[in-house]
Amino acid sequence: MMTRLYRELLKIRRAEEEVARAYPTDRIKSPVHLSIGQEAVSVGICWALNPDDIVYGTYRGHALYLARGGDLREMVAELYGKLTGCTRGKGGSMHLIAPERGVMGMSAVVGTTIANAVGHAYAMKVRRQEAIVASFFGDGATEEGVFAESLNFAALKKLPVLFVCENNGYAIHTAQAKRQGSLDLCAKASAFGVPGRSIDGSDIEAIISTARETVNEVRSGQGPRFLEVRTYRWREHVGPNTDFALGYRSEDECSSWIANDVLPRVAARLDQDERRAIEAEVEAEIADAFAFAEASPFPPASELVRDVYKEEAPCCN
Amino acid sequence: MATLVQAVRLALHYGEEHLGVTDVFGEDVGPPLGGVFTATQGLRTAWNSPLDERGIIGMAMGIAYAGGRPVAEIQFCDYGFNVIDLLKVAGNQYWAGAGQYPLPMVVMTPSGSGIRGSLYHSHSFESWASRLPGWKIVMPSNALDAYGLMLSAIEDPNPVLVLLPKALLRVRGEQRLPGEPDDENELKERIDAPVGEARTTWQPRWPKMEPYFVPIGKASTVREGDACTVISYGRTLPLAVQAADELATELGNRAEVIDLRSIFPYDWKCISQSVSKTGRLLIVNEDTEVTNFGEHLLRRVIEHHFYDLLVRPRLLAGKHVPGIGLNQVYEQNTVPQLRHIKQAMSEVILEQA
Repeated sequence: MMTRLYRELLKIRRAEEEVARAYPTDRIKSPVHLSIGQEAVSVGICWALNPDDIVYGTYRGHALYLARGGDLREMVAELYGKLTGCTRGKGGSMHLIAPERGVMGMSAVVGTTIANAVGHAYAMKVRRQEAIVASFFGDGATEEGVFAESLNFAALKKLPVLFVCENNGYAIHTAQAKRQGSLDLCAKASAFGVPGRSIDGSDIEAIISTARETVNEVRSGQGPRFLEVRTYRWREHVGPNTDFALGYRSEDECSSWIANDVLPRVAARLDQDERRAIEAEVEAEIADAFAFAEASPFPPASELVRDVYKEEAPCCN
Repeated sequence: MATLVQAVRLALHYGEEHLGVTDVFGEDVGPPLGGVFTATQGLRTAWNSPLDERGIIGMAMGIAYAGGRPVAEIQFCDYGFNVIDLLKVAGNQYWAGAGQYPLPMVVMTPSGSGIRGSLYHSHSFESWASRLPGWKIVMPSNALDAYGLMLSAIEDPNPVLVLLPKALLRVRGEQRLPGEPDDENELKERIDAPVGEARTTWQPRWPKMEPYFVPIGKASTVREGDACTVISYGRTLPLAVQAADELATELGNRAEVIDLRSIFPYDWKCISQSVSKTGRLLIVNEDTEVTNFGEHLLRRVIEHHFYDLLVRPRLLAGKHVPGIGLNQVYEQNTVPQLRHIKQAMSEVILEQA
């Protein structure tokens, strides 16, 4: 287990560090919202999911996409705006999809995918499918009306949906305490009839074990569940750098999270040869993905009118 | 003959039985009411959603993502403003997902004035909707078209918005729907839910309906003529027809009246041919006039047919005021009425070339 866990966490971390490194060269055409520091949330929750389960995510979605096995080449190419990207260079970093992995989509319009996840779960329940839906969103999204609307419906219909609030404490530059009258997100979920649990996002084993229990409850037809995973974003809201100079949070606050980083603790549980082998594999995979993106073509202008409608563009001629 | 709203109901029934409709849902869409305008009475898959427009559109998308074929209702298009973000996202998804996520979903919503709905039950929505690429938008003006456009909307693999002119919902058609009983009382007795106690145990006895598809993107020329081209749809269409008929008698000049039926994609070929023939154009709708969808048609006609035009082309639309006031003096002076349409039409016909 630790071997695979390390590989997954490391791959996300290193891929994003490479994104950050390449970013100033302007080879990456997309704004990037990095998950560095938050990888354990996606990896831990997805650990408890089955291959045919469905996930919906947020614009900070690299970790979720990769944790579900999304193709790294297609992700990097997408960030480069290349034709070989997972949405052919149309969506960029904020709109990664991998239908074959159940990654239905992410959105820059905060909260919108929560309602989609609930509709998806409704359709699956009606068809008596075994699969469940996991809906990932941030603490900011819980302030959107659609959060309340979606929890209400999911509870009403006892839908097989797991709501995962990746609480990194900030909506861009505004702390949760400056935005919400009550910080108890589980109590809010519970008010809608959705039982919730809060987990420390630095404890990967706690995330996995709680996710497994919770997913079992959802899968066995007990209705929706809510998980708050408390985590922390190390870098700026959007872009490759840190942002402590802005003064809205302190570097000390971040340091305590860095000191508790999951990655070295998982690494320490592997023997050195195994660890080095994984690191070499991950580096090779990342180098390959960036080389693939570099070598891929930009879309031709004719791509613009492709896929506006299912049939060839019915454009009133 | 079936009313427009009965035609919608019969189409949805046909959709459930033959076109794979999995869910017809919205606020009070299921029993006991079956929709504020009764469009969904007796339907097998109809259910009541929470009072939640974003939830309705968001869920419709999710159901479609999961392979279902939902028909969602927004009770009045005025509540569509609550959910413009999700409508935008729904239109984007197929393109933004590089063709990997078809979204076969239908949203139907009553649109426009005519029931003294005052501020928030009278808006038009087609101009807003026309700014949502990825959506197809249709608006029938009679029962048969409502039936045929609804079937096409259900069968379409893209998101389709069906705008229902609420002033015409109870108007009977002039043509029989395929499968509709000859006797309209029999139809009523079969498919209209009874009022009162009897409703609790009521079941519809659906007539055996047959398929009839009005292609999306195809206009209908409802009056042929060469004195001028009149393009309209929805509530103002029958008024434009009446005005044209009256002017044909009074002036002896026959206007060509086109029921656009589809806002997007619209039937440019039909418009273009007619304008080439008449050289005179009047567009009539009731949406507010600033950045009105009709202005787009005007712009295109001017760019393509500038030298074919004999007189200034015109748009008769709703006034640019915040809403439609309750009193009929407000309503009748805000959106085009028969007399306004007739006046504008006669000016276009009679203006010296």
